[in-house]
Amino acid sequence: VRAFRIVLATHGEFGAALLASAQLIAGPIEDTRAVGLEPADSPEDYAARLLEALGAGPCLVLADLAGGTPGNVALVVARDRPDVAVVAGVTLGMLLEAATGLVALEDAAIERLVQSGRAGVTRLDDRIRAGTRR
Amino acid sequence: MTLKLVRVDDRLIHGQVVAVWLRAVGARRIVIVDDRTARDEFLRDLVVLAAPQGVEVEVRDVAEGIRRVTELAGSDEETFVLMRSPLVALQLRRAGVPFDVLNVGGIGSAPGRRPLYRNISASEEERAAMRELEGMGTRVELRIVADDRAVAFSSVDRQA
Repeated sequence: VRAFRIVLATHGEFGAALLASAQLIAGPIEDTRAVGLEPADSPEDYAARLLEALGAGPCLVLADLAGGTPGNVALVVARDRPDVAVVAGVTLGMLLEAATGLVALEDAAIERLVQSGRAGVTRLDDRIRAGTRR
Repeated sequence: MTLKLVRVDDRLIHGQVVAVWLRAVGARRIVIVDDRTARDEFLRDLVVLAAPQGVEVEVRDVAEGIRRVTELAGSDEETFVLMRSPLVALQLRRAGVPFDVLNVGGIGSAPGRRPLYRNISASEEERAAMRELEGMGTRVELRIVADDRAVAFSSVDRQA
């Protein structure tokens, strides 16, 4: 069982939709919440909702964009929380990996998660066309 | 006059939005005027981290910001000035920092604020500051992203 909570910190409904899609594939995902930044939110409003979602104890924040407000605010909220990790660039593959493949929030595990995200971005058509030509 | 854009955005630097504005106005230097950020090393690091590659970012408190922005306005350095609140813009303008237009791009909802235009809210004090800026000859325009049409603050300013 996973020993940490997951919070999706995204612009708008992206995180909620990502979670819904992940559950289509993996079934119910526990202890995971999406906190979307809405257009009228001030950073303070958003920080309060994120803080509430983080709760106490280990938590992995998956943000959409490096340098965007959801990730920026997550860093501020987590500044005195060594048990909170923040990763940007979340994909469906990363969420599935984090939700079902990670046990604890160790540095090595987070690094594997980041690598799996990178590895998941790949051009497909090239490979198959190159394959049929050969 | 090289202040390319003087903008109020309570999210300060946030990736794409700032990148698009920098391109639109042709500035390579951002000066953030914000007491809280200037006095907190962590928040300072964070805004610098959030800035697009190849852009110089300076973070100043209001007193230092007045001096620095005045200096930059008289130089040939093309500068983008960013702050969280119209109250800071008014402090700059009162101290003689020359800017003809204030862009208001983001003020989120919070206690004491009510909606002003689209997703921009403002408190009575912030509205009064924008009115005073207009009285001093600075055009206050509401414009969230560079592609939006600018809307004059005066055209949406209504009493509570």
